[in-house]
Amino acid sequence: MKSDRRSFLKISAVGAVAAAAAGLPLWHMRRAASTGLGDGRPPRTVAPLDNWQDLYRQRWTWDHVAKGSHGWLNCRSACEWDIYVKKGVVVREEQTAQYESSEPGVVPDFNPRGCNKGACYTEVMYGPSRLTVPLKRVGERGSGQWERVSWDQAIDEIAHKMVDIAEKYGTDSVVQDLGPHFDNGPTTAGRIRFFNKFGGVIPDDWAEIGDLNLGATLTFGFPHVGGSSDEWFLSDYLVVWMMNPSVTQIPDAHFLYEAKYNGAKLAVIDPIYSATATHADLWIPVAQGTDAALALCIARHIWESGKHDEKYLQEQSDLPVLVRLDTGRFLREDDMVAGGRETVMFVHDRKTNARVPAPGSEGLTDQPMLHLGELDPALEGGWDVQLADGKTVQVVTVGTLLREQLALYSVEATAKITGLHSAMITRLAEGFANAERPMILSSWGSNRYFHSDLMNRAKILCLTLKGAIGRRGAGYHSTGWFSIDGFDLASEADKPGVGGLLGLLTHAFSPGEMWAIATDLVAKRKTLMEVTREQTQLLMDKEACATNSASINYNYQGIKDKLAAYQDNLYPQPTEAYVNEAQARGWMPLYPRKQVKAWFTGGNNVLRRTNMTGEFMANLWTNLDLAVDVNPKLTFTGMNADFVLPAAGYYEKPGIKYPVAYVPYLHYCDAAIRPVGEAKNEWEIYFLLAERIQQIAREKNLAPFDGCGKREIDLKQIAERYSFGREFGAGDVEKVMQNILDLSPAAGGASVRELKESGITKYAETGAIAYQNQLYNAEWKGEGVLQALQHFIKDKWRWPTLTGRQQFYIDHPWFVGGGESLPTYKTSPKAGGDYPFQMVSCHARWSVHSIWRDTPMMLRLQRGEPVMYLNPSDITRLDIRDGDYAEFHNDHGAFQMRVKESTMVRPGVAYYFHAWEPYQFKDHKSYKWITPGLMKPMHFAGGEGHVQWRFAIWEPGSAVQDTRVGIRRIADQQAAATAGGVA
Amino acid sequence: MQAVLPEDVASVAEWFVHVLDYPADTPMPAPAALARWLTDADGVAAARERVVYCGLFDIGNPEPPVPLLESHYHQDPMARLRRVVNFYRTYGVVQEANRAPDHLCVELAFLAYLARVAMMYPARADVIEALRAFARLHPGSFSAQCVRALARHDTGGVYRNLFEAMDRFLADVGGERVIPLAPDRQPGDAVRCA
Ligand code: SF4
Repeated sequence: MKSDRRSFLKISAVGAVAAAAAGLPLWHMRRAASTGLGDGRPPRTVAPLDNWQDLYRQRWTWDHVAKGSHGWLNCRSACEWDIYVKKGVVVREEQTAQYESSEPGVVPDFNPRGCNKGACYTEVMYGPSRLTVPLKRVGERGSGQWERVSWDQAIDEIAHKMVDIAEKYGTDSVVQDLGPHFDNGPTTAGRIRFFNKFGGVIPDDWAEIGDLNLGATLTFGFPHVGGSSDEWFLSDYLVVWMMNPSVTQIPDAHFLYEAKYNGAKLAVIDPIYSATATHADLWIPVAQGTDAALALCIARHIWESGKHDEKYLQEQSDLPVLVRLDTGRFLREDDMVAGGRETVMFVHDRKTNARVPAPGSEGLTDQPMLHLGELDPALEGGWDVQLADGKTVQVVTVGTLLREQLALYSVEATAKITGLHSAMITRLAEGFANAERPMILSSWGSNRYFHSDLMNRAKILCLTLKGAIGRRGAGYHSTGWFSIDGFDLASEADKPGVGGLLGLLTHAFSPGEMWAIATDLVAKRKTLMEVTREQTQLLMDKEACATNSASINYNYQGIKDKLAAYQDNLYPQPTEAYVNEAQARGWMPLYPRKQVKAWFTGGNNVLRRTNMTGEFMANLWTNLDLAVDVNPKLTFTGMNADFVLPAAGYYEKPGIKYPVAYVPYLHYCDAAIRPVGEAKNEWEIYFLLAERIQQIAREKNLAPFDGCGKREIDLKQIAERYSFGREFGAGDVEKVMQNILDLSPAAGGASVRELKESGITKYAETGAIAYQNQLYNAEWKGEGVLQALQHFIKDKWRWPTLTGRQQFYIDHPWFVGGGESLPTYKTSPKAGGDYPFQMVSCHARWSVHSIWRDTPMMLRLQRGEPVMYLNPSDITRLDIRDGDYAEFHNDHGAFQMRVKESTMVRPGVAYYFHAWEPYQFKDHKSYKWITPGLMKPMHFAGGEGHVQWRFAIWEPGSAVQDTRVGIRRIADQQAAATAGGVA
Repeated sequence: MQAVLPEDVASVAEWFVHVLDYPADTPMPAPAALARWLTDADGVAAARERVVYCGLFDIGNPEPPVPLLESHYHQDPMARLRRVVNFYRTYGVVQEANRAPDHLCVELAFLAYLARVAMMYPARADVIEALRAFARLHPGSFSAQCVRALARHDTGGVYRNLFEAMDRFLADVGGERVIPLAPDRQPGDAVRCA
């Protein structure tokens, strides 16, 4: 059977006519407009596709473009993206460039924003680990045996289990591991809200992760310091110290390099030749863990060379405050006068040669300001003082003690400690001392050494001596943080709108307390900050079942003995004695009170990140009656859960990126498409769970629970309370979002409808009702570079510390006894045993924690699997070749990882970029299994001034950077490769 | 040798379009004829996931692991495009503007269209010839390569099974097993090629 061109044409005429007559289905086809068929000529209307350009254009077609960002991702940045959607599928994302300069002609604008991860989020969203249906475990935990279940079944079974657990162990045996993946929209509000209403425990893991700047808290009274990243541009001497912005702050790093064009010097202090160090004028490869010594040496140089700012120090610092030499405690009013106030300290006025109460002292309840007036406080000096009991004691200023301390850190001594050449130290110290606007950038990751607090206190001291803290273009940037009021209210209040705020206040505070708050403010007895601090604390004390993850781990993970082995010889008492005292005195709350029986997570990957994971799984995880991961992505934690519930991803639900000061724009994340597969947004998931729990509780007629001993929890009302009294339904996530915006002055009146179009809006202000979330500059109203800390420097509010000043002397008995009342250098304890390598980690360029960690596209940019960086001299000595597997071991066991030869790291350091999933290792065991994660007992302290537990401000954490390991060559590389857990 | 009828070609090609296109909300029942090439059509239909589809076929940089475009698999991509576009033009149709003409689903849709034309004109053997030629020259020219690529990427196996079935189907259609439903021919008859 043959056909020629002619017969085809005949057929075409037949076909076209037939199709027209019979209405044949034309899948993806349509009839050509031309009727030229049958006469041998092609149709007059030709298909648009006739060349490569057309083909290219056609591939880049889309149905609509939404505005979005990476909503509840913990990336410490915010970037607006255009999300391109075709047929219900997000096909790509593209950076926008909508940002403006805060001060045109003075500082560059915030464009471009974005990073490599954000640019390929669709790879994660549609990647192999994406969850699309609810799954229920049918084998052992972690066996990988799952059954697909309906949402109805999943919700019903989880709800029943939760009620059972509440009946047996109390609602506070249920933990919501909130985690750092967090937003300010209905996703996180729904999570917090549900567990608040359920009476579950929400621990803060900021410090446990190693991100909480406790050195800043000890000095300033709060951990998050700093304004917008365009302020970097205004500095003349930038010191990047324990930060790597080229990798971890990609959208903001350009300000550093633009500052160099503006004439600034850039010094990078890092044991690693980091991606930021490659741009530096001066790279200081300090030996790991010796940063405090280097900082104290710089401080000494500033003071000795007379480059310190005396007036600033008199007003803003505790250097003039008097300390008793016999006890190491501040001289207090109750020392001097019977019945005096314990929290009023003294300075020595040179003008009158008399001791006077130190302005700012916490006990000066009606003088909340730092103004010195005629006072001329001495920074140095010593005097004899007669106490109320007739005893005479010697007192000296903090400045005197500090000078003595700094004397230890000569350039030569520091060179020995830090492994640096003395000329390099001198060059750095001189550069810093001579600068007009020195600025230190210090990341959240600077808090992972056991003695990180000492390091950060010493770093801040250099700036305070220069009077740089709070000065425009200078100071400390450790990531300023705030939140928007509507989010806090959506997480807590019972009613939407302003009624919710009032309800919350009247519920939490008695009329007397409300009256006291109002009169304190009117009479200017307290600053607004002090009122919010007290309110927050009262609310926490009365309502919240809040604790911190380190306390849970210390008490339930079965690690006390292991930690004791490495840290009990460091302080006068063993760690357990400190912890017991803290708990006995009520300094550090511990929930659950009895047992941990249910674990919910979603913004966290607890089994990926917890140190001594083996103990966590053996002692805590196995005791759980219920483990649920609500997550868009299957993680190692999800693999070991009982249920995994598919949450909508970043482009599938409305959200607000959490506000960091670096970029002062609200970033709205629109739901570009409906959730993938059967996924649902968290507001809806927790709504359904609340609804089912309420039904069960009513069927059983359950009596109210006592929560965590603070308030009544009536599960028969949980859905009513979760839904704001039925104001919002399961599908009302955008309405909840609007409620959040309506109650957030920082949003400047923006609506969901407007934000869907614009994506971003400049914050109108940055204050918040919660004390944790402040930048301390209420005057900033969206105009100009956002500078933090202006309340203290410009308005002279006292700092939220015991002395009301930037405080370098901590007179808490534990600190005095532990030799840490002043910033000092202490050696890094050998966690894991005495082994030759210190195992150090930092954040990766190719992932945001474990998200993207297994994404093929990102893996193609690295070695494709977990890899440890070692110095060439070390790998030669160990007889290992680049790319080989090696065994890393210490007292806790061993794991296996490939080695990468790199001059980037110092000899004696084993360096890895963090957040590899355990399933990427042999036997699903990562370095976390042998990382002890030391817990500094000092951080359990409380009861004095600002040294007391506050959620996300002061709490114990865990430190990973002190871990020691030995390294062994693996003889049989083939066996190592095939036994590996690497997929 | 078992014959393939134009109606089989039409229904099976349409089913493949339905399954391989962005999954629609309403499932399409598998045609009976499909059993000849794919034993577990219901299983495939139930298991296919939009996200897997996107990851394998539609989203990727610079290319998805298994592109569904004929031009991707040949040395002369522009000529390929011109040829397939000409095929459509010749039969009085053009592809929808939002799809590349050499997309597998567009080509299968056209195959189904030709098969339905053939059903309406059973005596016209030259329609069948066009059907065979198109199956062989266009979708059949790269389906085997898709199967090989899928073997590397589709760990779940759903799409690999599907593509293997489709490859067999296209080989049969292109390999002169299709017969017109003429009065003297019945399904199941052996095919005697001229
Ligand atoms: S992941 Fe973070 S830094 Fe990267 S583009 Fe998204 S919002 Fe920006």
